[in-house]
Amino acid sequence: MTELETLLHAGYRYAVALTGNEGDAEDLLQDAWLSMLRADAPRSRRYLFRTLRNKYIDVYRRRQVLDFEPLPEQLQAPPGADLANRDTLLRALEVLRPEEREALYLCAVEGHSAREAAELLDRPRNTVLSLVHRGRARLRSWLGASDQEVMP
Amino acid sequence: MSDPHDDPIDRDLAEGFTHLRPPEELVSNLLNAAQTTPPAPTWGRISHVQTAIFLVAILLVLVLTALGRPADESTPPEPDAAAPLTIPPGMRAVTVTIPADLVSERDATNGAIADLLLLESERTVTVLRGALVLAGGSDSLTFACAPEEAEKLVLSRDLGPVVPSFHVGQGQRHVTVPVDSTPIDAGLVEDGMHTDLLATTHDDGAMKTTTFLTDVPIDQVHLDGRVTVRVSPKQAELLLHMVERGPISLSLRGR
Repeated sequence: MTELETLLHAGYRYAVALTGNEGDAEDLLQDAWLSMLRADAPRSRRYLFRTLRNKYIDVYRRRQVLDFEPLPEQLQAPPGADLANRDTLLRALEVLRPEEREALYLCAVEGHSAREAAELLDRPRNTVLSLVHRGRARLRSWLGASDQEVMP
Repeated sequence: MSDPHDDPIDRDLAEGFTHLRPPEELVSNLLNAAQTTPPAPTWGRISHVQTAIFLVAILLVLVLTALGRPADESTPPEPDAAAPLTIPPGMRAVTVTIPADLVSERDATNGAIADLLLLESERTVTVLRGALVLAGGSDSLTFACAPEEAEKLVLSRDLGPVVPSFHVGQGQRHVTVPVDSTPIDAGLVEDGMHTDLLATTHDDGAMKTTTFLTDVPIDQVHLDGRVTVRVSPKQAELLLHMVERGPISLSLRGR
């Protein structure tokens, strides 16, 4: 895999974390990539992530097309669900709030510290810690694991 | 948070994300774009010579127009909107029969871009994204696709009904569905209105109605009891899945 391919794959995963689904992620990645090329911007991970985030905020979050009313089957994971499984992961992302999804992705998947994630998200460190904590709790609850907290 | 994978949830998430890969076609298109897309020009990059050439060209056009030369003499003829487009090099053309009640003729035109969704009994899945419509129609559409996608499309076509959702902007799709026609017959539904969508289903012998999408823009009302709505790709899957499960009703929202 070439450097650019690796970069696109990383960008795609971040786009899925931002949008919560693959369809929107593909559109978002395409928009961000073409925008970077037109601006003759450096083809770096940092720049791509920043562009993806800005595009997401400008277009997708502002658009706020419609909200899902969760179907009963979406409220609980199927028995034996495993987050390491691709399909389960995609369903789990729908359970999380967008800001929880992004914070959890940056910390749990990208391996950023809370302080680094806070800088990327332009939020206080404590807020990021709280989002990560709530995201994990929400996933545990969805998976039906023993849950000691009440969802907000 | 020094070790990001202390928590089992984090470990599973990290592993799950490694299975997410962008479609090869998308990667290939974006890599091609990286080689061919020039940066957007800025005035700072345009030389005086280029500016002078541009101004001379404009002057020439104005002079020719003033001399009475028909401006459209060298203009290529407008493409015939009804004529099928040519198959791009390296691509394949596959024709798919589509359920006529799930497509709007206004959307299904040559040159449109569509996703293709396979309606299975348990779920609806997107089998092809961003396919170019070479030849439109109300009961069949011909798409341009890569060779490996052609196999996938033909297989899908043989597995069940394949329905297009048309691209109408970033992350937005047009989906046409039949609905309870009472409000349409009564003249209550107009283009541009917003509605909630309700599905009535039979689960274990019991009937129930669920609101599964809210505040959906209606972009076209069809007098035969259908509406074309604007939704996200994921919502397009949900909407078509619900169409398979039971009748859809509109719950119109006040302006």
